[in-house]
Amino acid sequence: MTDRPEPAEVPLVFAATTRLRRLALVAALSVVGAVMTAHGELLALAAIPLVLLAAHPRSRLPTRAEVAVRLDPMRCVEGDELLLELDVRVPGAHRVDAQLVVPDHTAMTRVGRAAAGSGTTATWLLAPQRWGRQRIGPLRLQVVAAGGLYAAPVSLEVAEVIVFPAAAALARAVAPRELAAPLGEHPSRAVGSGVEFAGVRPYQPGDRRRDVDWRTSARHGGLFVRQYSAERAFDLVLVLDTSADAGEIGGSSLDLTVRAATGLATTYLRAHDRVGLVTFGGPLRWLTPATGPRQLYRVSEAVMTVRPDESERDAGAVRFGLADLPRSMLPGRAFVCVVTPLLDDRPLDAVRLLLDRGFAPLVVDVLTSEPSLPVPAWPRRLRRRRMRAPDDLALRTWRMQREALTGERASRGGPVVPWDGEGDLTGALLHVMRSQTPAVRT
Amino acid sequence: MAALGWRAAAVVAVAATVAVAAPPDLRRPVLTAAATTVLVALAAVVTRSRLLGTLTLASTAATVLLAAALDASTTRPAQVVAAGVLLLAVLGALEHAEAGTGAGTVLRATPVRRHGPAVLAVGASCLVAATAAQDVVPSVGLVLAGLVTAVGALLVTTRAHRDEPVRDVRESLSGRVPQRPER
Repeated sequence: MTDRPEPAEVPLVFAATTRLRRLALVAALSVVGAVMTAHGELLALAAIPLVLLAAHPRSRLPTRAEVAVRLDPMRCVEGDELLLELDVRVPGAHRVDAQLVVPDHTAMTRVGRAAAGSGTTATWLLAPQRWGRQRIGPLRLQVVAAGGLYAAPVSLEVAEVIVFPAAAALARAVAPRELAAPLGEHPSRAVGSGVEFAGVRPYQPGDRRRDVDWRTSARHGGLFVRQYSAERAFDLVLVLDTSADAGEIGGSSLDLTVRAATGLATTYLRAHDRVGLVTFGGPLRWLTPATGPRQLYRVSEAVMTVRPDESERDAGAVRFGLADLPRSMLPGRAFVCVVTPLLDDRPLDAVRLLLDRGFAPLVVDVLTSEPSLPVPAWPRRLRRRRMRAPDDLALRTWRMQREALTGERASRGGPVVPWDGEGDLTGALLHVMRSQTPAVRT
Repeated sequence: MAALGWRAAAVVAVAATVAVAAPPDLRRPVLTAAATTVLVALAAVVTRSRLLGTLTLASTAATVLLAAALDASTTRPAQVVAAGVLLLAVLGALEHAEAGTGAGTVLRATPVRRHGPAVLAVGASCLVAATAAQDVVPSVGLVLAGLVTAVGALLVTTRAHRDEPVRDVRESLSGRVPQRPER
């Protein structure tokens, strides 16, 4: 929990409420009615609003409110809960109402309030359901004073929270057999000083005595020593297609793309591998492969920016593609994973380029939904039943186009793995890593 | 459900106010005014319009005054006080019915501070009604005293809700009246 901030003094500017006007109206009507009809008892009707108006003079209105808002934590993962606390103290207030404005797809629950004298502490629980930089607030307060005759609005800015995408679950970090980078955790084909058994060979002068396999030596009548696999690191480059965001919010193609990227990066960085990131489709951005917890933070920050902001959308299509990527971004023997919704030819061009450079990328298809057709009004709906509507034709054409894209990709020798955000990618990764031999790089 | 409850409560309170103020033998003007009031109240709670709400309150007060003025002999002081209390209930119910559902109350004054002035106002209303019901011989002094009380109450009320506190005349003029330069 962060330290409690000092309460800020907010000036209150009051305005008359509807209650004041209504009471004045009833009082005026009653006094005029009593005078015009010369019935004194009708003044009893006027007495109630008059006393209420006289009992709450404007001069007794509070001038300032002490307010403190705190939100904890300021960074979270999708679905995590944030605690928002509001301390408000207004001596002489009749009532204080609060309305918190939260972004779309953020669940809000009022936990409760603890009143203490003229002050109170109100608490809300917020659960952002979508990744990104979310602006919480403003928190709109309505300070009602003088028995409800006056009200002062107060608007408080709360904070901007960073909601990281939830990482997709991967069972384990699998790696190809051919690994170049030294000092890792993946056993490779090369013989070295790892812990995984690789085989036995005849003893040679200089071998360590503790490596002697006595059982094999006894069986063959000569000395044999055990060999172990060398443990190497692995370079993973994630190529994200951010050109389109299709599907329901929360499970859209871009949501699945960032979740897959975060999950893969988390898994491999925990295994002390090097992970790099490239985004194309929108602005071309890259992150050089590196290892360590700091790289995980960099990757998380980078995937937060894949959703184009307004200025980038206004700027239109970006003409830079993967061909403009520095060669150092894709180190030798790196494994490339392209995450794309496969909605146009650009991902295929990217894969073609990677193949030309000697990589065998795995393509993860993250499109889980089809375009929704507009529902026509009922007279048109009847007509649509009689003859095949052009919408259906468009949908069928779209399906055929996607099948052609997937087929073209498959014909080049690489699988396209559909992923809906729930499945495990380990099997697909293992299949591609073990079955394909990287071509000669140019 | 709470919003629906407050809407129903507003209509019921309006109907009750009109029923309490109505004399035993209903005359056509009172009946017409009462029916109009209930209809306006229904429109106000359905549309949640503040203007219609204010009109409902004014119409209810006017119906009470009309009923009392047309048949003064049968109107008892308790009826007027009860109508006044019910008018307060109408005011509160209309405010709740018109309020949006987004905001929640985080701070509330103590019950004594919230309801004390209303109890005081009902007490004052009872006092006025009891005084008006006394059989007294009209005199110039009594009329003058009544007038002074009424004007005083109006003055106190309006002064209490001025935008700025009343200052000394010289202070209020300072800055606006050109001052003679000092030699």
